[in-house]
Amino acid sequence: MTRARFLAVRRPAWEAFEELLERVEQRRTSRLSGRDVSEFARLYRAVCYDLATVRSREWGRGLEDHLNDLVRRGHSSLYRSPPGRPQEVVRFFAEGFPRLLRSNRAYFWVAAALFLVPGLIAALVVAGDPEKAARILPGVVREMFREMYSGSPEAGPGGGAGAAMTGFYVYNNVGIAFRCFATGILFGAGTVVLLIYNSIYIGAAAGYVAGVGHGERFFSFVIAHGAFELTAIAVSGAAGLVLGHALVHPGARSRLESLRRRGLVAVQLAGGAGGMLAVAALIEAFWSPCGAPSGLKFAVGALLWIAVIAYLGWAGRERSAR
Amino acid sequence: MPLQAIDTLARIETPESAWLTFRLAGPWTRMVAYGFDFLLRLLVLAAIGLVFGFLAGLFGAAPLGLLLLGFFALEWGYAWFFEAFWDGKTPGKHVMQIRVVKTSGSPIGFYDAMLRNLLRAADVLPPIGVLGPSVGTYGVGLGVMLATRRFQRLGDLVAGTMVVHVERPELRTSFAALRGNIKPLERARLAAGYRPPERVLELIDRLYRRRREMHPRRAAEIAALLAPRLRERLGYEDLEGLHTRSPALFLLRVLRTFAAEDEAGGDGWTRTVPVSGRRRAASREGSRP
Repeated sequence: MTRARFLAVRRPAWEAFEELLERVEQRRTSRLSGRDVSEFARLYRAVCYDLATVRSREWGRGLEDHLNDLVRRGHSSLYRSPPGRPQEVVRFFAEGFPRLLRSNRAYFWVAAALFLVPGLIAALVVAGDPEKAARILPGVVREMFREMYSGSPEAGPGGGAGAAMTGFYVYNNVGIAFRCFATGILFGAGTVVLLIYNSIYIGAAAGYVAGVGHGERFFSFVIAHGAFELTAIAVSGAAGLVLGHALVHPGARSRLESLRRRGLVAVQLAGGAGGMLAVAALIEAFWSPCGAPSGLKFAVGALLWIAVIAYLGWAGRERSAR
Repeated sequence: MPLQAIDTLARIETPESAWLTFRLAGPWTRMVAYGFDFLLRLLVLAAIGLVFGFLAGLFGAAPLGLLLLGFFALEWGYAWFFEAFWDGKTPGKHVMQIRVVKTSGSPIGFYDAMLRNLLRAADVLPPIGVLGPSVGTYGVGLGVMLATRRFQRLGDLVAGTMVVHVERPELRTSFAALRGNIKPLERARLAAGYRPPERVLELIDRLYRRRREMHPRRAAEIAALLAPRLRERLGYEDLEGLHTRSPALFLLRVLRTFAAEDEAGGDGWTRTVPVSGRRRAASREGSRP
């Protein structure tokens, strides 16, 4: 068969395929019938075969590129993953995320330790001698903290502008969490540095405010959203450590392969942490600064801590065998 | 495995055992696309900044919260959502005609887009100040891109994605070079028996179509690589020394000689098979052409 004859015979099939392709690609306007689908699959295989023929006979780049493009578009349409549905987001937060975290709990504990221990030490040191805070917190920040928590409980920090503060907390905290996750790919170093840095900073701030005598105001403010916020930072740290560990200790796989496998787990953890931080931002902006008595705030805070622990520890468990 | 050419093509085998090629987008194209996206985001930021700033003047601080949420969405969600729901394209990529696909050639999903765009925070390092993850020198990303075969930055490596050119090559119906007034070679001076393969004719046509993209002397230089060998294979008696004096013209005349021959035998570009015969033709001819 010559090239010219080949073209004459096969071209109608290519045109028919391209026509179907266009309908498949804009699937919103026209749905395909069962016949069309099987016709599509049949033509696709035929075009694949034609491409191989053209390549092996070396019938020219122009023809090859055209068929390559048809096969590429067909391949894209056939092997597309089904579009995600909103229910999946709900399912992810109800079951998938806590399950995933529990199956990677070692990372979580390491991240939690990295995030807690330096902060606790900094808090204790600074609380004992508030002047030491000068080594960590700039003067402006110290001033701000003292102002924020010295007023009467009714004039809480943030001045009641709840919505504005939500925006700020999401922007700031989720940004930190995502960065904490992403920099894990630098062999885990970025995550470790960010965890320790934020830990010391927050610890020193807490120690400073307590040290200058506003401890009750401060802790009644942070306890509620802290349940979500602090855990979520540890979770995003765990996500970063998953990446780092995949790279440092890939086991029997190549580093790249190991990264790819664990990357999906890590990004889901980071996404879960993002969701938790969004909840934290709402609490931090609307509940935490409200004028409720400290006792009530501590009680609600404790309940939220229990809720978070129960959620991460038990949500999505299989029911025990009947 | 045959020797692989050093080029910017990614080859993928489909489940149908067909080999697909993708033309990879290099760092420069991607940088321009990124620059476009960056400007677009800046514009949107300025616009919502103005609107919410004005609203904040009227209603107090609450609209500022929405503004900050907008900042957040633009910084982290822009590329993620565009790529996830617009076939791997952001507006900048659309302008540059590139898109993100899996390294298997299939379209990217929600998590792929999320992974490659969250990991941007590592690719932008080392940072320029603390302007957020979308502002940085991209030293890490560029370095990794140049070290990998498919120009992948860290986010691409982990998500298993690559950025490729979007092309819609039209099936050309004739050789562009034949539109000019070129004489065929004299039959009498050709030794019989050799016909240049189709890919050689294509090559000549491609050189002709790209003539405006390069200096005539460069075109002649390239043509001079092919012309003497072709003359030898054809056994052409080149009395005027055309193939050395003007190798590009010589090649065009070769093309005219043999392409015309093809056309005389029915070029097949206009004839179509009736619809009813299509299926039979496809199955018969498709299996053994």
